[in-house]
Amino acid sequence: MEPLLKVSDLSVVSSGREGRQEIVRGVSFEVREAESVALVGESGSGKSLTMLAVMGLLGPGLSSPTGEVRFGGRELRGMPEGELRQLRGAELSMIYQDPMTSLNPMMRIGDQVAETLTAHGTGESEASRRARKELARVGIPDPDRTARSYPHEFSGGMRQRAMIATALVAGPRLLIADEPTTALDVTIQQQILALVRERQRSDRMATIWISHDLGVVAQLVTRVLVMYAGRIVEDAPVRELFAAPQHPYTAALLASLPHAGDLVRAPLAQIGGVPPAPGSVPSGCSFRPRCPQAVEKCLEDPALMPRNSSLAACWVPREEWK
Amino acid sequence: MSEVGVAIRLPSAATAPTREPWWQRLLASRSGAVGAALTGAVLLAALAALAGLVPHDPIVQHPADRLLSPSWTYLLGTDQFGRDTLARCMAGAAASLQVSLLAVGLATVVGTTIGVIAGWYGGWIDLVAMRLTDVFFAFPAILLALTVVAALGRGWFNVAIAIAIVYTPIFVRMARAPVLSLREAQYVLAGRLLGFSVPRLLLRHVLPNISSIVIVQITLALSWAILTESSLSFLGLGQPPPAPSLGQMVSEAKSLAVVAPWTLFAPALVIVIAVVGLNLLGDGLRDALDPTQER
Amino acid sequence: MARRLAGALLTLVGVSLLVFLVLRVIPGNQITASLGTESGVLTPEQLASLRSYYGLNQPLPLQYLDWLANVCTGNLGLSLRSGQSVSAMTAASLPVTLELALLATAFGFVLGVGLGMLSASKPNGVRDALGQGVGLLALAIPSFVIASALVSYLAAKFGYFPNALPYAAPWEDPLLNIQQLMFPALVLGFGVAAPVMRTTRSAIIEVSSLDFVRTARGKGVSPRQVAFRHVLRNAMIPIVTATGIQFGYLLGGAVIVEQIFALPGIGRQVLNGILQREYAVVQSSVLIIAAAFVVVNLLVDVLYRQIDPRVRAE
Repeated sequence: MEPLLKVSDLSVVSSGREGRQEIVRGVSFEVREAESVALVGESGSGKSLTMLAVMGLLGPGLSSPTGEVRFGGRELRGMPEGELRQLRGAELSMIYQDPMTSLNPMMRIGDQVAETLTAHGTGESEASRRARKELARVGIPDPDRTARSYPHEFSGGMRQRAMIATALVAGPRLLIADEPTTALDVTIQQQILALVRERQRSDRMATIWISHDLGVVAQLVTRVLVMYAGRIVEDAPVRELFAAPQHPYTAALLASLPHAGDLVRAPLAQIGGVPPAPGSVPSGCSFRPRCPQAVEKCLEDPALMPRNSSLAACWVPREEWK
Repeated sequence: MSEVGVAIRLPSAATAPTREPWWQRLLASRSGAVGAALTGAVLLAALAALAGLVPHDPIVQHPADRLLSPSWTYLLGTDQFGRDTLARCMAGAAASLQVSLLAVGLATVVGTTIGVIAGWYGGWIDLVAMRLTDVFFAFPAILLALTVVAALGRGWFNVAIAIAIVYTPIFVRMARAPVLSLREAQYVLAGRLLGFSVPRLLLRHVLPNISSIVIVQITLALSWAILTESSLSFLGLGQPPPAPSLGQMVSEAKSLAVVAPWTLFAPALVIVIAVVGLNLLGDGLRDALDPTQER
Repeated sequence: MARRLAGALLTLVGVSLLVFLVLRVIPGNQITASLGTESGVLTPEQLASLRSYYGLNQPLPLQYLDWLANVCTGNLGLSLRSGQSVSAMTAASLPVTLELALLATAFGFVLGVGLGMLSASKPNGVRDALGQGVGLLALAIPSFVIASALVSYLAAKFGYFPNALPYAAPWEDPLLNIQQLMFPALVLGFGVAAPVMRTTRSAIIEVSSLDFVRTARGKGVSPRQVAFRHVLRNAMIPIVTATGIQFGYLLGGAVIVEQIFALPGIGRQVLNGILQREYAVVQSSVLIIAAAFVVVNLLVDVLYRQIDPRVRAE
């Protein structure tokens, strides 16, 4: 069966004052119906930009010259903007990191939720009614009053719930969640994550979680994609990833996570060096300068290759690691 | 939270571009180059008039040659008294620039000084300065200029004083703002710790850093001064005739506009070129001197 | 809000002081001389009222307080030529300027926002250069040039000069009124459009890069709705503020256009007062205009608070 989302060889370049820089290159992955997947990487690894490129929402100075994006069997690249707009919000939705700035401060919350529906042809009163129901569904108390209020009157957690309502009211098949909990308090974070996970299950909605925090997404997804310097370096089911990472970068990431059962605070293992800036990515494998497993062959750029039940962009199989 | 990886980023090898001199950057930008050219043209015409390098004497009348359309003898035609329009335009430009430069010079010196002092010392000095500028800003600019000229009487010097009075508060506000933040800057605090005297700190450390803002503001102030000077002389409050002034030329040309359009459009064009040129120059300077400044 | 009112009041006091002081530069004997020789038109009571208004032969601070007391009780002085009270003159002239300013601001707002939206739709492109170019020209061409050229051509070529007829108030002869105000409003409107365009352009560019615009696009909202409901609505605050200030400027700043089109507005009242050495007229009229400007600024502040729901809550 064809996957819901199939991305092949996607790239994102920026053309600004410093010239043309490739931020994301050769990204390929699939997401199946109702599957939940994590896209993990450090800040600057290009994970947000990848998904913005999928949605066609890249800002000024950014473009996506290569790649194919197939959603529900249709090729999104080259699709006229009018058709793309019909998909956005209705089939393909996104929620963002900062609910304070991601909601229109001069529009009532109810109107903003209803806008997702009216933009796709629903009548105003019908949209209003469904918006209110959705606000209740995301756990907002007193949805009628909330619908009439403005974003600034609420806390971060409530605003994020409102944003989720905006994204889900039309019942999309795929939700992209770009670090939706980073700007929230720890206690609220858990609530929001639980809310989305619940909706994912009940609506059979595919989800892509973008995060820099491997520990958090582990409980939410069945598969993890690891990004480094604009490329996907590992694509593995979540248990396998944690038990036996197939890429040295993933292994280093896991090693740097504190273990819950530590009685003695051992120094956290750090990865020497820093990730390369977009303009100065080394030739060959981009992780080579910092990789403890690097060999001669690594001067050649590795593509994702099968390693046990995962995919990893590494010439050196795990069994041969030092 | 369990962070993934190391988040520090070292600067890449080639970060800061090499800095070419500001006038190169100015001329490289389109608005800067055009602005410099236009302003330069007007300046040249004015200087030529002051040096006497005019095709005809701007004041002398040629009764036999009244209201002639542009020709090789009179490149921009003549007015109702047979005076050469081009020469009068050049002399008028000189008069305008004279008034504007004096007015803006005064406003810059006085305004910037007050603004820097207010911003540096803060407290009630700042409060009083701000309240005073509020009072001046409560007047529509041209009205304030009119009132001052009403009190002082007509003439080019009083017009200059009037313009200076109107524009000084603007320089006060403009100079004060960056000083407020510069006061807390690292190198200024270091200087204060080292015991540098206030005048030295202000002159050597603060002033150079606001100079780009001041320079840009000067060009804009000049363009406004030229507009105001011509407006006031249009109303009959500038230097009395026969001294040529652009505003007065337009006023005299009102009745002639259909018969001899050059009498109205020539001085108008000089004003427009000067104002457009100064504005573009200001934009170009803003980008050339400090590209990080907000537009 | 109370703080704003107090500040405005303080500014008004400062304004009155400034007006008083500026015109005190005129030697006092000029005023007394004019009271003596040209006072033939005035009755003894009017003469006494004018004397009281000027507060002559008193120390300066007392003169100021006297004058302030006069003004607050409605004695704004008299015109020596006509014997008319300045308050009566102002009651007739201020509405003319208000109507002119309103029309000019409305036109300038529409033109300025339109040009600003054009420029901002593709920054640094051709449309932007065009929009900004028109804006620069609107700024650079003096209002007196356009006004003079218009009046001359319309009168000479088309014999069209409605302003030669005495001014008609809107309730007297609406058609003539519009004819008389149309061109002056147009000329002044261009002056308003220039700063409004600049404010619109930068506000739109800034708001367009904000996150919630991306959210709206991500929901599938049409570009038109994004432009109006999301971008423009949030950009309106600085735009309305700038427009309001321009309206305030026109109250005194329209003097030249009023002069050229022979409109009996308050700016012209000041100018005539200057030219005819009617110091009381000048002093009181300038005070009125400045006070009106302060009031307009206050109203703009109130308006902006009403528009922005975030501030309204305070």
